[in-house]
Amino acid sequence: MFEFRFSSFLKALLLLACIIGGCDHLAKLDKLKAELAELKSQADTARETADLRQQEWTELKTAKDKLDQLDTRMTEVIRKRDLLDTKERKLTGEIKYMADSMAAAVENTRTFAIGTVIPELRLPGRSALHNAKIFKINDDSVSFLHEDGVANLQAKSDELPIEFVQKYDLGPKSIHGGLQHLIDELTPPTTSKSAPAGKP
Amino acid sequence: MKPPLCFCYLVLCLTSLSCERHAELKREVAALDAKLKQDEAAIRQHEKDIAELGGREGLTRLLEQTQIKEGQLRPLEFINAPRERKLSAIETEFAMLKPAAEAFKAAQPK
Repeated sequence: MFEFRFSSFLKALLLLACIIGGCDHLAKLDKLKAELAELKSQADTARETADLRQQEWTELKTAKDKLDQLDTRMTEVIRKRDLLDTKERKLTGEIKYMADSMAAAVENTRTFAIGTVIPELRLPGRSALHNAKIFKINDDSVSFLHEDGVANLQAKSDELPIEFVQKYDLGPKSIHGGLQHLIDELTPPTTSKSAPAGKP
Repeated sequence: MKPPLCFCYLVLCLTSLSCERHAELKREVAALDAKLKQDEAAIRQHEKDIAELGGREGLTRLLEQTQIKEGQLRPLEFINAPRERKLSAIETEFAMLKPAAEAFKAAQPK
């Protein structure tokens, strides 16, 4: 006949509790493991996406930085070009003014000299002219009437004394000629005026 | 040791081990979760930065603009340098001629 024994019942209860507890624990463990696996997969994807975005951003940033640098250089170059334009205008004005006033002074000096008589004009490398009267002065030469006839002395072949060359601003090294040469240098149309299409 | 006691001891040991394993797994999950959030924040930040720079299509636009700017800049730089040298040379020559011209003008007959 069955005899109820408390200790056997307790043991059975304990065993049952252990089995239920163990099952619950294993279920929780499985759930956690599944969650962990899913999180790992999500984290890997997120990492890859983050790397990709970073790469895209780095490329964009590099391109933007390069464009910014070019903009800065462009601003600097345009500023420099404007400064050169200003300098050129100022220099042209000054030289033109100086050349005009110099031309007037040369003209005045040469006109004033016409008719001047030099009793003895010593010339380099040839005989002197006596009673030489200046009757014409142009940029390269001076013409004289003298006792023996007419003489046209060239400045560039050193036929005239140096003081004549300086006094009447003659020859290839004349001041007025130098100034005119500078104006000619400045006059050719500069291509810098052709501004770029997207001038800032 | 009596069998019931031994059984109780075994149960206690298993419980302790299982709790430890459970806690370890939870820690791993928490760490991964934090990393995931960090990466997601990084993605959001990069996407915001990319949008500020004109989006993913902006790269093509930026590269085109860079090419255009380089094309404009090169001739300007090419012109400026020789022009500066030329103006400096003219300025120097004028500086030499100017005193001589002033002296000539001062010496002209009135």
